[in-house]
Formats: sequence, structure tokens, C-alpha cells
Amino acid sequence: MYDWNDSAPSVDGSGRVISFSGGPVRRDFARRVRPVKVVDETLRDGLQSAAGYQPDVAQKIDLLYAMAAIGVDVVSVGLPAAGLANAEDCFLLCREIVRSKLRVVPTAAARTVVADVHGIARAADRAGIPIEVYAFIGSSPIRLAVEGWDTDFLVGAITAAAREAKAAGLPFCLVTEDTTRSNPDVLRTLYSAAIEAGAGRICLCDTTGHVTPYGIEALVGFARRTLDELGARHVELDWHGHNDRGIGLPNALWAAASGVDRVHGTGLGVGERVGNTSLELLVENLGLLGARPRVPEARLVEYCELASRALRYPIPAGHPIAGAETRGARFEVRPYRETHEESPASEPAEPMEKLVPMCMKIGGSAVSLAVPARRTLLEALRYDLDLVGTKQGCDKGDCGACTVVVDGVAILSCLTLALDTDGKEVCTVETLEGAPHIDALLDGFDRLGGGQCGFCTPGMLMTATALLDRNPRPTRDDIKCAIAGNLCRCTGYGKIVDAIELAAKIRRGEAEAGVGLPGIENTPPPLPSNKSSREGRQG
Amino acid sequence: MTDTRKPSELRGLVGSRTRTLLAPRVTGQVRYTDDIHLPRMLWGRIVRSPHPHARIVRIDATRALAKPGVIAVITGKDMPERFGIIPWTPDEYPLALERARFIGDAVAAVAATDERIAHEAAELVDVEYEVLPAATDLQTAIDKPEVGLGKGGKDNVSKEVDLAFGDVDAALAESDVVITGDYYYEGSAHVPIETHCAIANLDKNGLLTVWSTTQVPHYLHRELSRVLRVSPTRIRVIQPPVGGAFGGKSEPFSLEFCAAKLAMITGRPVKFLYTREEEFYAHRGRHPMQIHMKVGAKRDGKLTSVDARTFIDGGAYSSFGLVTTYYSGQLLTLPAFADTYRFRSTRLFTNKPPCGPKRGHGSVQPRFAFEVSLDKISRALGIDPIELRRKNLVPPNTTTLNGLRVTSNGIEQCLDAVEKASGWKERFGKLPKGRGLGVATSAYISGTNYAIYPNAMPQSAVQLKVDRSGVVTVFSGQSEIGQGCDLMLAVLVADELGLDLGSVRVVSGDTDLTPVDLGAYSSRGTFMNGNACLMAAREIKSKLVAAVAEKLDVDPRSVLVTRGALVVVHDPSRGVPVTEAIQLAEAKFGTLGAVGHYNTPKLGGDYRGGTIGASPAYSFTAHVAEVSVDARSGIVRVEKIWVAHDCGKALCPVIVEGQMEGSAYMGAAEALLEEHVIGPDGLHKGPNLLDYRIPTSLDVPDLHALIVESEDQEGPLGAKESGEGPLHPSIPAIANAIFDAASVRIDRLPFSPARVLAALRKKQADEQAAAVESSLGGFAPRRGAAPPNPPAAE
Repeated sequence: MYDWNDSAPSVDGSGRVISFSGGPVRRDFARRVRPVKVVDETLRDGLQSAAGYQPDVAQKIDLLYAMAAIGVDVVSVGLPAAGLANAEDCFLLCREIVRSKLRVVPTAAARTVVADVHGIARAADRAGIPIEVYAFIGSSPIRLAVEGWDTDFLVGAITAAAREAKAAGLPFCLVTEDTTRSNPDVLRTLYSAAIEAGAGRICLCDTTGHVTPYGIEALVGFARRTLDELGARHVELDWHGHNDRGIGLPNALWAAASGVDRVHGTGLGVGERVGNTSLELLVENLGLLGARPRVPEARLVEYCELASRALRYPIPAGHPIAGAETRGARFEVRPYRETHEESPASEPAEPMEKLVPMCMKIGGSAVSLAVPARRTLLEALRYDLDLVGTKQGCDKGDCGACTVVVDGVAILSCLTLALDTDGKEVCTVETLEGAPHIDALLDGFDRLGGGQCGFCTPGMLMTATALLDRNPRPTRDDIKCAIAGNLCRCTGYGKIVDAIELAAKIRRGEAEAGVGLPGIENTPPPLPSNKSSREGRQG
Repeated sequence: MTDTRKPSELRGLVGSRTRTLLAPRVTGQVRYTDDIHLPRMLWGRIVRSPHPHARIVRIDATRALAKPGVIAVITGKDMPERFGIIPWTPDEYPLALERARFIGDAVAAVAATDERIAHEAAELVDVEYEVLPAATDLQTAIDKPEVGLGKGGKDNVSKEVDLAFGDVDAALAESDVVITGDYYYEGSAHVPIETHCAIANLDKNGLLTVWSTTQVPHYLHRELSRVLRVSPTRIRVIQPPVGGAFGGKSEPFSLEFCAAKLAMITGRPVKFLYTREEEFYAHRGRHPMQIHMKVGAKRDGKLTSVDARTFIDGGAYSSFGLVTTYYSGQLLTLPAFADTYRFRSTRLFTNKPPCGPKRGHGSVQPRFAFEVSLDKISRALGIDPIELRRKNLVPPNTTTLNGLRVTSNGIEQCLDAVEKASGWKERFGKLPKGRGLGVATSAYISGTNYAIYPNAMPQSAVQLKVDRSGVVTVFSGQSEIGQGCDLMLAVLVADELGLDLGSVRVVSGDTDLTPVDLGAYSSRGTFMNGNACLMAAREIKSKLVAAVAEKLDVDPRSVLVTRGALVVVHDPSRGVPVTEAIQLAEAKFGTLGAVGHYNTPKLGGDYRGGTIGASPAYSFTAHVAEVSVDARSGIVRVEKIWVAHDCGKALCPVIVEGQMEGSAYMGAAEALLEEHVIGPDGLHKGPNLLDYRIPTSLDVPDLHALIVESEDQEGPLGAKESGEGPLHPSIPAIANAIFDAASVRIDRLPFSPARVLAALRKKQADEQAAAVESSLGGFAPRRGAAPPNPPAAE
């Protein structure tokens, strides 16, 4: 198959074909697209669409997880200044990012005014994560004329906002609206002011959907040169392009080819007026170009479905990935270069479950972990902490094999959510001490045959630990009652009761501990001296 | 001077109440199969049939495969090879190929990235069934041969055995009393606390490793090779310590094949873990049996004949059924028996979870019928039930009616022990109303004489590795399932070589590391592996003795192994520590190591089936149970069970007692609580641990284990089995005690309150009717007519 993406015939001066491969355009575009980060603006720009629907925070959080699952790097959590509800949602989204350790960077939009930056700083404070400030301001002559602004006004506003962000410890990005129609000297002035006040990022915007790829190439080249001249090579560039001409996606790809660091998009391309660059198509195309890892199609479909739900915007029937009519009808598209191993199978199969950080004390030492809310304590112990001594016999609370002691009480770990033990002291069979100072219960069970197959034994030991801790002198009936929730199929229980009785005696000092344990210490004989070895030979 | 003392007196380890040091399982540190997590491991889940009997029309895995995280789905077509534990009756597929034969039959399997996804994906495998007529109970299987579950589809018969010894009809005709009874033994499940689990991994060299909760790694190795069509040289089976089995893990199961196949397909490790519900459906538990039994006796109590007709509910597949069918008759002829015997047993297939071997395979059910019959005879003849048994005991060193060779036999001591301990003579028949005593006896095999597949190689083998530090490692193919067989081997080796128990390690159950042992079934472990161990250990011992004799310049015959040292018999002050002896021997002979093996002598009756039931030794048990029966509720409470068991020699009394108590408890549970009942729709009545009632610590009687030692000539240091025999008499002893307490016979298991109450009420009504009848003299109304004065409501 001849792939015009890969190859073009080489021609001589007269236009005659001399070779059918290795022509000058071969893989040129693909090679130019650098690895680039993706910014999801659905929860900001997407909410400014004509529909004007505001999703509830649960829908936003679902979408946030879908974003993380398709590898979005940066998420705009909204425009806190748009109202109290918006500010609260921004906070909740950021908190979710923190709690579940989602690998996305939050940003929030702000007008270039100090009060808006304040709002973001408050949300960041509450959530415990820095939120990047994307401060937007009009910079084209049309906008200046309409608003009656001049360059000095812009510089003043930018300087004040950027300083405020810096003071709050938040990264600052200057978003010049309608950049594609702004004067280069104005832009240069604004960039200079922003960078001086601490901005680390400039966002180039085609907010009117006006630009073509050639314009992008020129603009990005100009911005890079300007930053070089300003001695600000560390400052990164974003591309935010609208779709009024229907070429938002090619433009975004061209921006990536021209060397920006981040490209913006929104779910299903929903956004102001006719919309933005479609984020899912951007991700898919960057994947095909080898600039990003490819994402399993099912996840992209799920992303589209959640975006559709959150935005009340039906997925177009002909959508290339998720359209009802086109789903599964695409040609198998081949990536240009496989820079990333394609192994969807080994990755988590569904949108990551939300992980909640927690900590507990096990055997006196603190352990911290993050678990999905539905994780049982049994699963957390066995799968997350590798404390496999605790057994699963039925997973229904019937058998007692999973018994552990939480804050002194024997509980069934298969019926306890891990999060319910947050901050508590958990005692498992692993926490019982072994030889030579063997735990009294282990001692008793070993000496009197309290265990046979041993599968119920960890649970028995924990139940008995809790019993002896609260009642050092239990009767046989006390013991039988205590272990009535622990099923044993081997012993008939008699020897278990004997063992616990003996353990109680050992604990009380009425019986000797560790009888019959083999000595562990070794007293090595003195090393043979030369003399003795000579004697040995003579002997 | 030669050593005239018994070996056990020398070293002091055998028979001592030692710590079970080799049981780190007691301390919760053992890694069971489910405790193994491998990198990139997938989770498997079996798709099971929702119909008791159906033809599989079509399986469509499209929806399951579309689910994110699902890696592979396999069906019967991926492994179209029959298997079965008995080589003559292979009738199972890892995944059903054409027909599903019970609710829960495996039809497909899914592998996914995590357990939850695997479970959800199994629901998405679309299987189209054509539902077929089903037989979900024994009677239907008998009445409707057209269901066609048997071979060839003509009937539902799985196996029929018809054997007769002597002229039964004549003997019955000459008997003074003939007891005829119909007994029904309900099925029960093993319910190990650890459910089945298997993990398979295929490495890049093509070596397939399967970890399984099996109790027969060797057979699993063979079957995996056959079904997967992979050379046995490319398969390693590892049996991690097993969390209880009781016979429920003694054949290959779908999960092992599916894990292996999916590992081969996906190139990733795959784990299957049965849920508790699946465990009940995978089953292989105790066969329900319907037994019609006649037992005849002379007036003096001498038994004349036993005639049994038994129908066995086999469930969907053959499993061990061929053997079960023989065991339903063959093992009855010990310890007390008649001169003539006939039994005809028919195992039928039903559309239920397949039955198999549960502790006391096939012989617990007829034992119940027989021991209750004996109790009825003793009542009919007015002979004490213990005396009745004594009159009919098969003596030691003889051959039974059906050709079983009996050597050591401690049944008399067992009867004496329970009679004494229970205060039988003073208390039997004299307890207050509602309280009673019952006795029963049994015998059981210590291993079978023949391997499941015919071959002339040893049944058990071990290798010993001797380290110059003083540590001896035993490599044995046997399966430690909680019964303590690893410890038994350690005790034998340590005792033989004068070592501490802490200096012996046992590596078992790994087909790459250990020599073949056939597995943990038919109570063969200690007997056979123990003998193999002794053979190897004695070879090492002779080298130690020779080296020490040379060093001390004495005759080897005067060197004695004691605990910790080899000493000169006539001058024990001269000696060499064992560790030093090992080093001397290593210097003299080179690297120390030895192999040992055991094979059974050729035994058994000279007739078809005569080898089934043949064992190199038999254990014997007697139980006395004490029960109370609450007449108002029908609740039976077993207060105490005295268990006397002839285990030959108690190598480790704590373990032997544990086996005896565990057996008696399990038998009592079958008698009173447990019912593995499948409804007419083919569904299990309650496949969970709340509805299926295994006893808690509050439900068990006081168990008194009384060890009897008969020093078997062929057992290792005299030992015989103790893991299965002591279960048998529990059920009839309790049944007989109920009669003693409340004068009702419950010939159907379990002795639930409803059943007991119904029997009590019927008895009361019968008595009242009889009273009315007698008060009316010769003018009594015909039976069945309403009595003139209906009994007042209670």
C-alpha cells in the first residue's frame, strides 16, 4: 500500500518522478509535531456554549475522571468569579484531584483583575493544591476600541494580577484574547509586562476562529522570538483556538507542529459560539502522530458520553469516534510512528476509581495508603498492604476467617470499609510476635494443636486476642462464645478452646511460655588455632 | 549387645506431645494459593449454566470481550478433551462442550484485569441454551431413564455393583430375627474454609506452572498434560499448603484447566478463586444414598446375614463414582459382621452438582444403616449393643468374608475404652427420659492397594537431603492439607536420626522438587510416605552409625542413635553428637542423601472389584454418644462423644487427637445440621455458610479422644490412619442414642428438630391409638379409622 502520509515521490527539476519513496515531505508533518500537553477547557469554555446548561458537580467530577483516563494533562476547573456556585465547584474539583491523586494539573480562568485571582487563591488554599491562573484580557485593536482601553491600562491590569498570583504562589498565564488579530508591538509590550510581574506562560488565542495554519506558524514564531529577546525562554506557550471556520482541529495540530507546549480543546468541541477544538479528536490525532500515547477507543467514547451528558449536547451521529452511526465504522488507522508501546490491555480497564487517602496504625507503625471508597478492609490488607495473613473464607461475613482487631474490637474485615478504619489502630495476625518471645496465643495454638489447616487460625487468633485483652481470665464458655463467629472445619473446636485457655494462663504468668521451642542462638565454638589444628593432625 | 527396646523408646520423639513446629500455618504465616499474587496477573471467572440440563446452542462472547479490561474468553471448544479422576470414566470437560448437566456446570471462562471486571464480564457472555428434561432427584433418575444421563444416553446409570458372598437367602431364612429398614443418608459438603483456587503462569521458555489448592498434585499434573496436550515435561504443579480439603479437592477441577489455558492464551498469569457459592456447586461431596438393608441374627446375637440394596445419587458426573459404588458395600465387613453378605448398589446420574469423596468415602452412609440395624437387633434380642458387637468381631490376622486381609485390629480395646470412659455399664438404659447413650463401630482403610491408574511404580517416595549443619530436608510429594502429614514425616525422620524436630524440614507437594506421591486421599499419607521416609532415613542412619563406629573404634552394632547423639550401647558416656556424626559420615561416604519408597503388597479378593477396599492395614473406631432430646421442640443436643480409635501407633498424639475430634465433629454435624439439598429446580437450597450450617463452637459436643494403639506390622513404627475412620460411627451412635433417649428411630438424615418432633408425635399418636385399642379389647376399630377419643392438643 502506498501511504501518502509517509511518502511522496521524489521528482527531479523537470517534475519527473525519480523515486516513489523518500521524497522531501516524507513524514515531515509527523516529525514536526512535538510531544505536547493537552489542556481540557470543557468545564470552562464548554460551559459558555449557546446551550448555557450548567452541569452539577457530580457530572463535572465524572467528566474529570474521564479526562484523567484519556490522559489529559491540564484541566480547567472553571471560572470561579462567575458566581459562588462556580467557585465551590472549582474547589470541589480540585479537592477531588488531590484526594484521588489524579495526575492532572488544575487551572482556572480569571478576568485580569486582582479580585478574580483572589478567588482562585481561596479555592487553591482550601483544596491544598496550586491552581494555575489563566488571566484573559482583550488585546486586539477592535477590542481596545470597543472597551476604550489603552496599552497602559492593559499593562497596569496585567502587572497587578500577575503580582497577586505570584504572591499567592500560583502560576500565572497571560491569555491575550483575539491574539490572531493583535498588533505585534502591543503583544510584545503585554508579554514583557506579564513576564516581569512573574508570568510563566502565555496563551495564544484565536478566540474568533479567524486564523489559518500559516497564521499560526507566523504567530508562534513571533512569540518565540519575542520571548527569546525578552530573555524569557522558560516561558511556555499555549494554543487556544476556536472553530468558526471548521478548522479548529487542524489549527491545533499545526500549533503543535509549530512548537507550542500546550494545546487546548473541549469535549465534543463544544464552546463559545460555534465551538472549540474537539479534545477527543485532538488526543486521537496526536496519538496517531506519535506525539502522545494512544488512548483506547473505549475510553474516548466514554469521555464523549460523559461530556455529552455534562453539557447536554448530543454526540453528533457522525462523530468520528463516538457517533452512533459511525462507531466502529472507522478504518483501522495506523499511527505514523509507534513511540509509545500500545498496550491498552495492561492498563486499568475503566476510568480509574477515585482513590481516597487514608492512614492506619498496624502493629504500632503508621501506614498510609489510598483506596477506592468501596475497598473493604480485607482487600486493603491483602491487596494494598500485602498482609495476606488475614484470610477470605466467604466474603460475606459468615465465616470469621477475616477477623482483625480494630481499636481493640474484633471485627470482620470483609464487611468493613477500609475508609472506616482511617486513623485507627488495626491489629492483624502479622502483628503477633514470633519466637523467641512468642505471643502467648501462637504458643498455645502450636503446643495444643489449635490449628490444623490453619486457614481459620488468623481469624481465631485475632478474636482471641481481643477476648484476652478485655478478659484475661475467661472461662471455657466465655471462650466458646467469643469464637462462635469463627468457623473452623478441622478441629471440632476443643483444641482451640484448650489453646486459648493455655494462652490466658501464659499471659497471666501461670504457665510457662515457649516450652519446647528450639533455641535459636548459637554459641560458636572457638576458632581452631594453629596449635590445636597441628595437634589435630598429630592426633 | 543388641537393642531390644522399641525405637520409640530410644529417641523419645515418637508419641510425645511435641510442639507442631512444622506448622507455621498455626501462626498465620503460611502462604496459601490465594495469597500468591504475581505481577500482571489476570483474574478468571467461570461462566456457569443456569439450567440443570441443557444443550449449549451458541456462545457469544462479543459483549464480554468489548468490556474494557476483558482480555480473553474461552469455551469448551478450546479444550475439547474429556477428563475424569478414574481413568475408566472420563466424562467431564473443563468447560462443557455440548451439554450442561447441572446448574453451575462450567460453560465458559473469562480472564480480565481484575476480579470485579472478571465477575461482571462473566455475566456478559451470552449463552443460548436449549433446555432439556432434567432429573434433579434420585427417584426421578430411577423412574425416568429417558433423561439419558448415563453412557450412551439410554438410562441414568453411572455404575452398578452386585456382589454376593455366601447364601444370603438361606441364612436370612434361618435367622431368629431379621431387621429390615429403609435409610436415607442426605448429601453433605466438605466446606473447607479455603475455597478452591488456582493460578497458572506460562514462562517464556514454555514452562507452565500451576499452583492449586489440590490434594492430588500428581494426578493434576497428568490430567493437565493430557487435556491441554502439553508435554508433562513442560508442566510443574505446585500445591501450596491447603486450607482444608476433606476430599473436596482430590480431583482436577475446571478452574485449573481454565487458568492454564488462559495463561497460555494471554501470556499472563491467571488466577481463579471460587466464591463460597461456587464452592457449593463444584461440590464432590458426600453422596446421598437410599439404602434398603436387611440384617439377620440368631437368638444368641450371632449375625447371620446382611442384604443391602442401595441407590446412590451421583450428581452430574462420574468423579470417583466407580469406587464410591464399591465402597458402599465393600467396607462394611469390618469390624463386626455376619457370615453371609450380598449388596447391590446402583449409582445414578442426576442433574445436580457432582458428588465425590468426602472424608470416609462411600462407607459412612451404609455404616449408618448397618450400625442402626445392629442397635435394632440388640433391642429385639435384649442384648447389650456393645456385647452384640463383641460377639461378632472379626479377629486380627484374618481375612474377611469379602477377601480383605486384616492384620492389626484394636477394636476390642476401642470398645473397652468407650465403654469404660462413658460409664456405659452403669448408665446405659438408666438415664432419665430425654437423655440417652448410643454406640457404634467402624473400620477404615489406611490407603488403597492400587493407584488410580494401573502401574507398578511406588505409591509414595521421598528423598532425604542431609546438610552438614545438622539439618535434614525431606522431599515428599505428599499433600499437606492440614492433616499434619508433613509433621508425621518430620517426627519419623527426626526420631530415626536422633534429631530435634526443629532440625528437619519438609518440602512437599511440588512436582518439580519432590518425588511422586499419589496424593492425600484414602487415608494413605502417613502410612505410605512414612514407610518411604523410614526406608530413606534408615539408609542415612546406617552411614552415620558406620562413621561413628569407625571414629570410636567400636562394632557398628553397638552404636545406638539417641536423641541428639550416637552413643555406644554398653558405654553411653562415649558418643558423638548427631551433627558431628553427619559430618563424619559425609567425610567418609561423600554427600549424604537417600531415597525411600513404599508400594503395597498385592492384596484383595479374587473377583471383579475385589481389590477395591483392599488396604495394607485397617483402622478401627468405636464411639459412644450421649444425647439429650427435647420432647417439646424436637431439638437433639449431642452432649458428649467418646471416640476410641485404633491408629496403630500415635506418632504425634496431639495430631491424632485432632484428627479424631475433627472427624467426630464432622460426623455429628452431618447427623444433626448439614444438608446439601438441591431443589426440584436444580438450585442449591442455600449455598452459603448461614444456610448451610456447619457447627460453630457452641454447637459441638464435648469430644473425648481415646487413642488405642495396636502397633501395625506394616505401618511406619506401627502407625495406621486416623483422619477418616473416626468419622463413621458418629452418625449411627447419635441415632442410637436418640432412640435410647426418646424411643424413636430416625432413619433419615439429618436428625433435624422437625424430623425428630414428627417422629415423637407419631409415636405418641401410635401409643394412644394402641392404648385405645387395648382398652376396647377384641372390638377395636380397624387401624386407620379415627380413634373414638382424638388425643387432646398438646
